[in-house]
Amino acid sequence: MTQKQMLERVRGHHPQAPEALIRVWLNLGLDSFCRQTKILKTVYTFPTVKDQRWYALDDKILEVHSVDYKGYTIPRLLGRPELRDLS
Amino acid sequence: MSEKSEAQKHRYWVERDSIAIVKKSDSPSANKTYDSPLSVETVNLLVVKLDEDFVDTGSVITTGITCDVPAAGEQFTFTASGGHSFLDGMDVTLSGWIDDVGETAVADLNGITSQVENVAGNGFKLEGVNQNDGATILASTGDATPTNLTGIGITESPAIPSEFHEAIVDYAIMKGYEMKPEGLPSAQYFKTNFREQVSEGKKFSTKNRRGTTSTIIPQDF
Repeated sequence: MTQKQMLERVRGHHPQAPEALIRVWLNLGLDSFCRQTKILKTVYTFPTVKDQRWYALDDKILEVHSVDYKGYTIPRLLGRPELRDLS
Repeated sequence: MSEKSEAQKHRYWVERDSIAIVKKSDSPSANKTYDSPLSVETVNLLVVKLDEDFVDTGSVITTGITCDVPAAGEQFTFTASGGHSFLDGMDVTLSGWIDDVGETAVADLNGITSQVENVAGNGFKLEGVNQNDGATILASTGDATPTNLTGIGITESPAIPSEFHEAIVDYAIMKGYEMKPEGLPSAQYFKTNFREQVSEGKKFSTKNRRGTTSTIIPQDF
């Protein structure tokens, strides 16, 4: 179903609601559905940078399931290193 | 040391909306200390994600916009007599601008990308788009196209499986009914529909290619 078809379906129940408001409701519904079902899974790829340990995660990422480094799965560190490095 | 064992010296953790990639120190005396990656390598993240947002791309290319002729250094005011869907903070690119003499391209405006501000009715301004000193632009008409709209367009569908698209519609209908007290029973009906589809979505999400669901069987010890 396209966004246009969804807008028309909702407008059938709420003819006075502005399109922008219906779009907000649709976005809330889509976020709620994805958060609860964890239905969308994908792979993000990025290169490391020498001497840089922190990399920003995309806003759309809910959970990191596993990480490959050079193609090999690496373990999640339990806790964090004693020496904090923010670089 | 093999490439595999070298790679598997690395660890990761997630904190503050970021991911840290570190390598266990090679120094024998440096137990439990970690270094930042020492080389450029590829990292793959297997993640659960949200879908893109629905965005308005249906009526966004606004044509027939006019602009006034401000004094040198003053900001242009643009007017879309047929209305526009721009919001403050949206990036737009100007194109197709000609002056009122006709045929002459208004080079100073064409190709400019700037942020919309001061939206008021059919009018709006663009941040930093001012009349240049000594290069007076005559009253002009042209088009503006948003450049930063990424997401699910008006003719596109969400990435979630199509059998669950109805759930999104049910949620939006529910939100509409929640706004008025007399609509609360209807809201409850659509909320129940949404929850049922979320339940089905959870099952779908954990299904593997054999069509069975992953379950954890409790064991007595």
